[in-house]
Amino acid sequence: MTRRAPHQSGFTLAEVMIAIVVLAAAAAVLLPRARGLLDYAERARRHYAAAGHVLDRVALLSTLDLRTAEVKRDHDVFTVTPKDSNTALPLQVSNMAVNGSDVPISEAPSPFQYIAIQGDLGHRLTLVGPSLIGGSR
Amino acid sequence: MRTTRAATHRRSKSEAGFTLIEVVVAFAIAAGTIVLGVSLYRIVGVATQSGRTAERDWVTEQFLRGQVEAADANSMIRFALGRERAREFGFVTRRSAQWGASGPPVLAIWRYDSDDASLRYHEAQIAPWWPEDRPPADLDYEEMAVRTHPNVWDGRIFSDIDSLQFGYWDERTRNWTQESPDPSHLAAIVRMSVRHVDGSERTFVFATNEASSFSSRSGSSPGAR
Repeated sequence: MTRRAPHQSGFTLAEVMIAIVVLAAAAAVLLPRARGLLDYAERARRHYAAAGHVLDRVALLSTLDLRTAEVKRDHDVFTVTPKDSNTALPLQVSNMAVNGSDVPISEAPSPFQYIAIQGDLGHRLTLVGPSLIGGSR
Repeated sequence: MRTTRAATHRRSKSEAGFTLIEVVVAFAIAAGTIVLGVSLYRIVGVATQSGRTAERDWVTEQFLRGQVEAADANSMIRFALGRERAREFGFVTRRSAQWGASGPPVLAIWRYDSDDASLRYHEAQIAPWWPEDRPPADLDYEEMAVRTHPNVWDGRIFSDIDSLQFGYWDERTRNWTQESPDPSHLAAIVRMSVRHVDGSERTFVFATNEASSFSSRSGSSPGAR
């Protein structure tokens, strides 16, 4: 590299290139991160919508007609799927364990049971309510 | 003298300005910096606004859920202050936008304003000391719906709405209806279907405290089958 004489002002090509490279690197790092902020806002919106959807399903519980609902048993968990298309919310019902005593729902229904509702984005809300499912005996 | 003037006009080596290339490069770097700064500013601004809007809508939604859940069916029967229409839902509730859950009951009205493309909220206080013998006409729905003073809160809560429709669950027919002629009636579940101007749709379902969430109908224990 040639040494710059004292009377030679201005930038060398190398200095200009370094400035441009630094600027490009800053843009390459900052812009995707800024776009990540946009994604974060969109994820927050989707999360709120999904959580609201679970709450909608909870509100629809009172329209549940158990007489026409399809009930399937898988070990000690019952899955209740209403036939009514208005309330297409599969529920998973299981006995409530009290003081570590977990009585199988097939043996005897507990007075209160766990009722789990699955949301769209994997949200799962478990409520405790009066017994929905009776014993099979 | 001549020598001095000539020296003034002639650029010396120490007085060298910028060449065209230098100016172009400087402009290019400056332009790049400005574009980067403006892009960052815009993106951060949009993201912040979007996040705030999502959070505000969520808080509003939770307020509406709580308000319907705290609906006062007894007051509605007593004062006949209900309105269940396709574009308007009016009911008495114990949860106020002004006093929270600890104030007097209020008449809350959610009304779709197609001109403003928004869901408007109107809240008028019902004095808890209202005399028993006061004629019900003093608690007229129409009068309270346009009342502006005192103790009235009125404003827009959702905007950019292309269409909005309320539905009310009729337990007898087990179906949704768009209106109820009985002003003292309070539906157990209220549905609000919203389509925004950007084409997105959302249906909210609100349960009143009339909704008995987990009580199965008599003789409907499916586990016994």
